[in-house]
Amino acid sequence: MKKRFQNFWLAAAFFLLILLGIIMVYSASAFYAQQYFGDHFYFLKRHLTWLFLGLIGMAAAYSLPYKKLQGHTWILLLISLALLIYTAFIHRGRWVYIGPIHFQAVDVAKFSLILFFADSLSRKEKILGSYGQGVFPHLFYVALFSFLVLLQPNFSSAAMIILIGITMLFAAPTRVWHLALTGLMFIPALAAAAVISPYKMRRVLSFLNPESDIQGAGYQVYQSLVSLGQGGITGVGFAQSTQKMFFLPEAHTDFIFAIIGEEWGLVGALTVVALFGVILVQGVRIARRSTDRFEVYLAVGVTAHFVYYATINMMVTLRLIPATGLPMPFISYGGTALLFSCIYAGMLLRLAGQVSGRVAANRVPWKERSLRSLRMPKFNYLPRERRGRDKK
Amino acid sequence: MLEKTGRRINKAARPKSSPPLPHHRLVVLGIFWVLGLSLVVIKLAIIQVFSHGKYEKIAKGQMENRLVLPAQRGNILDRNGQVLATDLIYYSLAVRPKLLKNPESNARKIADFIQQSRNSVLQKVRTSKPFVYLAHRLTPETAEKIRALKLQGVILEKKFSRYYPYGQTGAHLLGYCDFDNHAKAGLEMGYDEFLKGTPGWSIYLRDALGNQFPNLDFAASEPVNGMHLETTIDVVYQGILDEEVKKAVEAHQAGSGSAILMNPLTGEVLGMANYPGYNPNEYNRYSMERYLNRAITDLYEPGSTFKMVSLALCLEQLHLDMQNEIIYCENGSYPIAQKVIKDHHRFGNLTARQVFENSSNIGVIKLSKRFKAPLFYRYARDFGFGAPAGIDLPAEAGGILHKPAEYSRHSLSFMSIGYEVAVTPLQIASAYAAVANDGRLMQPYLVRRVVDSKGKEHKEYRPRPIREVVSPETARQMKTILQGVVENGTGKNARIEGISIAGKTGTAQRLDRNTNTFSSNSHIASFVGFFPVEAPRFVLLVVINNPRLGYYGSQVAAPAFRNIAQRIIGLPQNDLPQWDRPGEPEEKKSASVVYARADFPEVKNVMPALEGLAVNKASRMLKKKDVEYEIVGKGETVYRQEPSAYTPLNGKEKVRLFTDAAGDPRRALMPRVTGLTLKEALQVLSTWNIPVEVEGSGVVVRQLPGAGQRMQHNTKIKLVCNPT
Repeated sequence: MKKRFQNFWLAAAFFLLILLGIIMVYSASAFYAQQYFGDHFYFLKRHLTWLFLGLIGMAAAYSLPYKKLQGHTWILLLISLALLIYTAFIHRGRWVYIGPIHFQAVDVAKFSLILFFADSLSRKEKILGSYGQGVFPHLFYVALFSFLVLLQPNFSSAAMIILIGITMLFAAPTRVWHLALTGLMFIPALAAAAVISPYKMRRVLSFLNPESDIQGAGYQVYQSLVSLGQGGITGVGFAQSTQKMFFLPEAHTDFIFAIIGEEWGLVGALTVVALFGVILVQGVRIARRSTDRFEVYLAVGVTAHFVYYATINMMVTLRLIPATGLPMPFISYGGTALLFSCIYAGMLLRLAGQVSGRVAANRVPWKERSLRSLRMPKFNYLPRERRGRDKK
Repeated sequence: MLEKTGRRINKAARPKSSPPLPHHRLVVLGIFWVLGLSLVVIKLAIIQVFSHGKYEKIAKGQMENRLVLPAQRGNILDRNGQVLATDLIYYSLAVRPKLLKNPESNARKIADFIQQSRNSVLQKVRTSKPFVYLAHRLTPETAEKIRALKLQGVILEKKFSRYYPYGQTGAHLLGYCDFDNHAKAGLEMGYDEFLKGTPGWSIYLRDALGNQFPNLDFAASEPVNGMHLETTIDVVYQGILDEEVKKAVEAHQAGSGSAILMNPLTGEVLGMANYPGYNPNEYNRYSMERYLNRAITDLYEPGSTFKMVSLALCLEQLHLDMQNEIIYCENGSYPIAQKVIKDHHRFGNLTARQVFENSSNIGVIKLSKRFKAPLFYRYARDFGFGAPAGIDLPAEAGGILHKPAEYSRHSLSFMSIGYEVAVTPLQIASAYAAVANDGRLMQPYLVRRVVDSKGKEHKEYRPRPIREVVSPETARQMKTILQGVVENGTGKNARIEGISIAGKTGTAQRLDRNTNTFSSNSHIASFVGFFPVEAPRFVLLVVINNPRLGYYGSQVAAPAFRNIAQRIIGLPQNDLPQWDRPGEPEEKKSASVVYARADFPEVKNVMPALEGLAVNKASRMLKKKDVEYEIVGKGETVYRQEPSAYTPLNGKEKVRLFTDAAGDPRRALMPRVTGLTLKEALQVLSTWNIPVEVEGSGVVVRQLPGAGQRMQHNTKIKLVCNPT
């Protein structure tokens, strides 16, 4: 192990995303802030405050020895369960207020769940092949958490918990058909939740029939497309967005990607996609190189969190899926989401440092890499002779 | 199946060691995630590259606000510059509730200015709408007061609204404009292209809340205000016509009535009245038929007034000796085509002249036996029947004049006394004007000049002779016979001592549409004539539809004609004939006036045309003629003379020359100028030659003295203005 801090690309991606976030939050919110708070910098100031906390969190997450958490993550689970029950029944809503601090309970819950799953999966690998003993208890936590989050109500975060949970289970040696079956069970449950909540239903309907309701439920997404479309290839220029002048609601939070696309054009939008692509690739790489199971699952969970939030946020902005209110990691304006994104970043960087220098468990040396190295052990139908030829 | 079992056994066989981590699953996850991002990239390319143009347009469209700056509609002026129609500036008050601070107290303040209850204003303000109108048609004064409050979110929109200072007077000529100031009838509509001007625009950037930011990148265009119309109407004559027609209609319990006053020398329409009419300031309150300008749209069988065509034929084609040709009038009863034609009086033998003077139907029918149908048709056609007279008003009717090929055996008989033809009152008036104008038919018209908002002449309309219908000699003979009608015949009721009047009565039975027979209790009474016969300056037609008290033209229409003529003659006249002024076309001068002087030796001395001349030059001319005169006002040029040019002088009257408006009884009332821009107000007032004191600039919000007040020589006009 040469240095603890090893992964340049990952660190660069985080740094650039945070930087882009600062610029875009100011650009997208200045008009809104001036109109309603009389201060251009209203949102930027708050964003920077959260970012400051986030950097402390990142540093903390980077220096934390995760190995020592193993076996104790149930405490986190209990805390977040308490918070979720509090927000679901006692003080209904997304936010928890403790003195001057307020944060979204669901962010804590996701954090706890990722750590708990990494812990639990790494310890119970042997029984994961069994549905009743291995898979079901995990799915139970997922279902419980998402149900409590639904009661807040927060449909998109509930769906996110399910998605991340199943992804982590998929990375573990579970049986795929167990997961597929359970996934099928979640779909009608989520669909029912969508149907009984009228605002969600409206969004789905407006997604299915986009031109019907430009002034109503489809307005936001329509304006988001207008923003992106107006940007073209090179964009209208920094701070030149006209859509942020109240045409596009939530321009500095959930729809900030549209403003990026408008001001920086396709070039800017692709840069954001590429930065998340770096996180994706590096995340998978860390997971594959890691020898410690806890680290593997932690890397998978954290990477999944980044990738899902970024991808779904962009897909909503592009009307590829119905509108949900999910922020874009690092870039969307502040809040606990930014704080936890920084913490996750710190965790991933730490994991990267721990695995740097090691080779992935089944890694094929760089020169020999080919698609064949992705071969599945059970279906190794290629004759040995040809592998030998590749080595030349 | 086999394989699966095998796998299970395999796993069960080594329960102690942890199973190998399925790293391929991480790769599958990675590929799944990359696929998701690829979808994003594809959709991004579609929207940002291929649909870029479409979305750019949408974004521009919702952001740019094209603000239309309305153009002020031009004024319509009468022949003396009196404003008959003008645009007043009004303001619409609107509020952006989101931006209005302290809605309670501010709504209360606003409510006091717009005469609405505080609660109703507060209710309107408390809305989720971004923009709400509170009041329309606020005067500039009120708008100024509201603007002085300097409230955020309160918007005053400048709007123009048509105003007709004389109300019903001349409404059918002027037409009206609707709430959006779009022309709907009359001159407003006929000359809309000149009056309406070109609205300007400017582009504002706008956010979704409606806040506007002026954008200097885009050009803006200033509105071009509409042009003004200088018409031939004289509002004083017009007022007389309106009053007298109304009086006649009411006195005879008639259905409706029309009157037309024209200058025969030029075809200028000096006035045109219809009763019942409407007030264009409240254009939406009346039933449809009140909007009809019956003088140009109503078709009727003219009856005796049409006999002038027969008269022209008798004189020019038959060369009848009117004094000596004797016609037996069958004692007032003459069968023709299973009908019995009756005269209003049992006439025996009459001279041809007496036949026309007494309007004997039987006599004219007997004379018409000598006519040739094509010739009769040609004369009728030449006098302008069967085709629109060509006045510059929309919706003029053309009438019906059958061609000789369509005549039945008795058509000529009926047509010679004015049946089997359909004419408009205007056609009759302009045909008689042709007689008065020595046989020359002039095209009637209403607009003399179109002047742009800067006072520059854009277009001038000159008198347009259409054709010479009869020779001047025939016209002269017709004039004497028509004069005989008034002096000895059916038109006695139109006679006025001291002035020579020529005219013709008309009494037509109305065709009952249901039975297709002539109704015996529904008539159209008319009288048409011109005066003075020596140098005709007015042609006047009065048509009364369906009178219930009396029905003869001589009973119903002739007295109305006399009343109008008397009032017109009694007026200090100023403006006829305009075209005899120095510098006007020579041939006009010689054609009628000089000719008239030569042929009527009793006219020895006529009033010279002095209008437009310097005061000292005019007084020199009058001194030369040994005429006593008086100069009224302090101006330097004569703008009106009394009596007017070319009236015969007997050497006793005192001539009055008006040099400014204050001393002039016809002009002494202060016009309304509030709502006009300062420049326009000064233009309106410029004819007054009275000092104007101006406070501020922009739009006139207050005037002293107020509209309608009488002016004196020492009056000063004070205008208070505010910038818009």
